[in-house]
Amino acid sequence: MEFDETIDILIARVLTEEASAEDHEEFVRWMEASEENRRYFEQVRTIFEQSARVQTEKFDAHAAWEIFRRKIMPDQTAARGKVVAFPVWKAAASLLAFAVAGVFLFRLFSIPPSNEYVAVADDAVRQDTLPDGTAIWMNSHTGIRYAFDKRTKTHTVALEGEAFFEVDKEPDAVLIVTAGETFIRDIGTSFNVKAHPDSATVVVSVIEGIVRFYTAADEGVELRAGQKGVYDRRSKTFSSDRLEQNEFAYKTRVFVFNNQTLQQVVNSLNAVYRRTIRVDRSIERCRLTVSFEDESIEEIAAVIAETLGLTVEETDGVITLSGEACTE
Amino acid sequence: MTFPPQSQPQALALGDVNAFEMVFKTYYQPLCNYAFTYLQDKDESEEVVQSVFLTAWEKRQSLEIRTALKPYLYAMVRNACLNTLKHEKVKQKHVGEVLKTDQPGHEAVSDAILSDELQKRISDALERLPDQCRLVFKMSRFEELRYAEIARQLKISVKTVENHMGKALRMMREQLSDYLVVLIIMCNLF
Repeated sequence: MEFDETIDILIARVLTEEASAEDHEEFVRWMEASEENRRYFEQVRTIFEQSARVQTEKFDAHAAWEIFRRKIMPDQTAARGKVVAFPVWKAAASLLAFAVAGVFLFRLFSIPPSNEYVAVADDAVRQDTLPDGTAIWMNSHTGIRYAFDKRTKTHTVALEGEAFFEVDKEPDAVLIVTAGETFIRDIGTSFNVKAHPDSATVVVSVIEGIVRFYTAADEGVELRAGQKGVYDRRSKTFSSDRLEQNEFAYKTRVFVFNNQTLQQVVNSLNAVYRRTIRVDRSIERCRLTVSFEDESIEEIAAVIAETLGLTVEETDGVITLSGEACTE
Repeated sequence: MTFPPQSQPQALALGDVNAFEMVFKTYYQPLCNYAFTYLQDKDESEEVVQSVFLTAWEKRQSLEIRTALKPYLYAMVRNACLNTLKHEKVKQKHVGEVLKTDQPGHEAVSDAILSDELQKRISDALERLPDQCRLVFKMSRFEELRYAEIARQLKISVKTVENHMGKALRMMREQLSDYLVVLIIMCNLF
């Protein structure tokens, strides 16, 4: 049986999420009309979904990166890692020894490329599972690079940004997260690392188990569940503190506010949701005790407005709360 | 916990080679894949994607990894592919390559029992769509652009985009209908 062309246009709208409320109603009516319609839709949907996954060739991102890296940094050798400054006369004298050691060091530290895994979350929170089974929640603007060294049985994750790790216990393997000059060594646990390259601190928070937080020069601190460690990049010192609520709201979307000002509440929410809430000056000192569990930003705004008797307005994707100043 | 107003995560600085490497390795495969749907040539696809990344690297000062990065890379790849296709020589080769991909036995990545075969058939059906219709469909599916954005970039109306999308799905279904009937029955059996 053949259908009117408008049906294909309607189905396309539904599948691309361009459909209006009326489109949806029309679509549901059409779907319910016959078994044949449903079969037709099922076929079109299969094509639609599979079409973006069409993959006829394999492309090796690793090999490609090596080629690319040589293009942008032609003066570097193939070995990964730091370029060591070495005085010329010394270099000449110890050329042979250096070359031998170089091969050895290269073997020791290089990580087989096939073990590497890279992930980026640019504008939204992303959940992923690392090859070792560790579940990871990456906050927006975060990148990780994972590698496993078979010889030392060490899983390494280089982190830029913020991520929450839930480690899949493997008795004889070790997980080390590196963030800037700091290391976070896990001892079977769940923890969060916040290490934005341009932030003055690296913050590690432990939900479960024990974690060692250190640098090459400083043995650092041992953190237990409910604690957080802060590393000051400038003074190169560690301190530890109790965990605060809403620390991992980006992962859990669970917020607990206890008599906090509206401005503080909104700041916490804006760090997690893509759409932002703005509050008028007059009401930013209003205090709020409320909790939210995995709700949409629109629902949250509505609840706040209801609680404090405010009005909600939306323009260009920004939600604005306004109203009368609160009495202290 | 309270966040001072400026403490929201900053964008990864693209200038950092490590950050760029992450971006490169994340998008390389999907971008090559996308290029391949236009060029039907593995080496050509990789060349295009390499040159797009090179441009992105050179412009890294003015680029930010925010929402704009992914659409930027995809649009660059698309334009580079369309430019490449303009050259007659490649077009000739392209015809040859399409025939080549029809041959059985080449390695493909499968994520389900039947998806190898299905993907090849979809890929062939996609190739047979009229040019503009195929382009609109690819921009919607691979680049995940909204109708309005596709219309803006191609300088056509949203209505035309809708018609192309409807037509693309219809034509592909017609080509695949026999196969899909069997496929869907089998999927329901398992």
